[in-house]
Amino acid sequence: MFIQTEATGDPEALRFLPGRAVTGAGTRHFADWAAAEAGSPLAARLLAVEGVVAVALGAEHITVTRAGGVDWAVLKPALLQEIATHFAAGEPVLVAALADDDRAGQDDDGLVAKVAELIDTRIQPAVAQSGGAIDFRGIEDGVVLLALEGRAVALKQGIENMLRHYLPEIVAVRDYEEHVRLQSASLNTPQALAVRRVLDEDVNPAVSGHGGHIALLDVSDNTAYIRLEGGCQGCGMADVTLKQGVEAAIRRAVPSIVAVTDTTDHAGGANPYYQPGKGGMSPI
Amino acid sequence: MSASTGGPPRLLLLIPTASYRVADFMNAAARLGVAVVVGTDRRPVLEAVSGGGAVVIDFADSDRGAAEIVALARERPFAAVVGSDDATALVAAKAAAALGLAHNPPEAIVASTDKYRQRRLMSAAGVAVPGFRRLELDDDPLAAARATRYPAVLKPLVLSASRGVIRVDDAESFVAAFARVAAILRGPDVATLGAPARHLLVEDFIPGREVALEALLIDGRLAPLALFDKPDPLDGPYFEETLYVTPSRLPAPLQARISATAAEAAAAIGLGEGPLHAELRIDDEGGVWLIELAARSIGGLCGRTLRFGAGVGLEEVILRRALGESTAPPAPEPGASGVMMIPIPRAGVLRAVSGEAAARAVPLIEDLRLMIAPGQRLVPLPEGNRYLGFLFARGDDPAAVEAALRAAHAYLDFEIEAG
Repeated sequence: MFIQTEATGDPEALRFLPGRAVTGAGTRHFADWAAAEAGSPLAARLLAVEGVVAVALGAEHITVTRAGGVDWAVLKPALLQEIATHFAAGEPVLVAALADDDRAGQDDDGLVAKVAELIDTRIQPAVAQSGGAIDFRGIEDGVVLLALEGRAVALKQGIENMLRHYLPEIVAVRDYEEHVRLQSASLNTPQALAVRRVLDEDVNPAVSGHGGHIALLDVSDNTAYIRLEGGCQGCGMADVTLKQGVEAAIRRAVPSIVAVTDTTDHAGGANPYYQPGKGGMSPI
Repeated sequence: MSASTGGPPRLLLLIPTASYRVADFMNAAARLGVAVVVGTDRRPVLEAVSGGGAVVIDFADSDRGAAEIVALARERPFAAVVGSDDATALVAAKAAAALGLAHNPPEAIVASTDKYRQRRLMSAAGVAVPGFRRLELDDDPLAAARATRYPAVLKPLVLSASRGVIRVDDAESFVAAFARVAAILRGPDVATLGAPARHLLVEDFIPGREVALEALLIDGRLAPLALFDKPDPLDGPYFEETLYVTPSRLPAPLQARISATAAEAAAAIGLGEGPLHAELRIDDEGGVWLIELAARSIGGLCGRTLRFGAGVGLEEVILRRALGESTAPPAPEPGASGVMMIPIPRAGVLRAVSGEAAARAVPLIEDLRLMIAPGQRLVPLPEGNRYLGFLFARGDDPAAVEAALRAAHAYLDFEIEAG
């Protein structure tokens, strides 16, 4: 069995293409072993590998998210072996009930297929032209889960607008990586949930107008760790957005937060909203 | 107006959205423990949740901008209003004047941002400036070319960083350069800058070395902060700023004359308070010529080369003075430092950058900041208005710093696709 791998926009995630159907249709994601054991023998097998924190099973691919600091050079061979062993043994990808649920529930009305077609025919070409890429990971409660790479992050609002225009049953588009991350225990404490509420209700609706997004990565020791994405990454006004906006709003709403730490690689910003320059009457 | 209402002093920082220096000024303010309000030329994206910490101020209409600031100060006073560059200096001066805070006379700021007006004032005061005259965009370039003494330099009245500055050696190159500068001035980002943007300057080219002086004006006295040598020859046809290295290797008496010339020029214009950035030429006979003067500090990220006392940055020195610190700025840290503003070698689309790790690994290199991400369009001088990035070095002596910057730059390779 020949299994291809390809990078994703997230350095912590790697995509495996086994050259055969995985779920066949729809996407399932697993971030803890107990849920995987109940729903997917393949995901459970991969989550049992040390250093794996999440597994997403797509129609024809598997995306594995590693823990920070784990070397792909070590992890990748182990994952390739587990995937090959799984398929060679003829084991199911999903337990029967979950597979039936997928067929009967998630795509009963053909919504997954409709979204996939829109993405393939209208959205993906435009995203690719702008220097980005997206990968459709599934739908949950009307929320389309997309892995967003490169400039696709800045186009998220536009993608959502288009999907909602053609498919009114779609309520939102969410970054798949964030979707998985938000299931972690540290982002579901009362304090973290309060921070999430500030970002969801006050901050991200505003910065989305600049093609930006503020992702919450962790909340620990009364510090919120965030990342500026899309139009905010590398933006000339990022410090103002962060210190005068995000930090002010979080600390006002959640006084127990004492610091907001920006972990963004601003030099990697592919599409910053404000670009520093010599301007008219300016620098040197 | 008193700024004392309890709590930390409140500082209004005026920064254009296209500034390189937002982070440096914000970090300096944080170090000082002041409450910062940031005023920008476009509505801050999170203004609504900033609690008044980020506001939009009209920089283009300085009277209106100053009135907006005075209104904000009525809610809670400011201890200082600080402009970060040429575009914000006038509104900062007008607002500070209205609020009774330290400031330069607004008319001096107007003069400092108009290369023709500042040359007239400096020339009248006896400061050595190259021979100059002002042209209008609608003037006949051929007639102007015939009336010019060569070599000469054409430059816009309002732009900076050598944008639109072109050396001309004869009438033919004059006419071609005139058309190029005129096209830049008619561009959408420049045409809105008012009457000075409808003119250009032609001045004598002064052969020789060039230096940049960074200084702080305190109650009319000039306190030099750093003198930068520019080791790369600036002979044209374009005047791309690349290397800045400090302290200067020029003889001390010459350095003193440079500072004295800048002080005379500042006084001629009427500047007496806050940061000053001057560029001067030293001709082959040792004569000092003032070629640029601005009531602001050095731009880009170049200020990061400077440290004073125990790790105090340039922006902090500026803010301390604006907040009323009356003592002389601390002495520069010992040793040498320098910056290379990485030039854009040719037009096109940046596809990839390689050699970053090797450049960073060069001894004495302190940092490398790339400012343009792959996929973006590159426009070189004289039309361009951006740098590829900045290399920083620090060491014991200027020669070693300069060598490190050149060595690191040699490792960088920019893959640029034509078109």
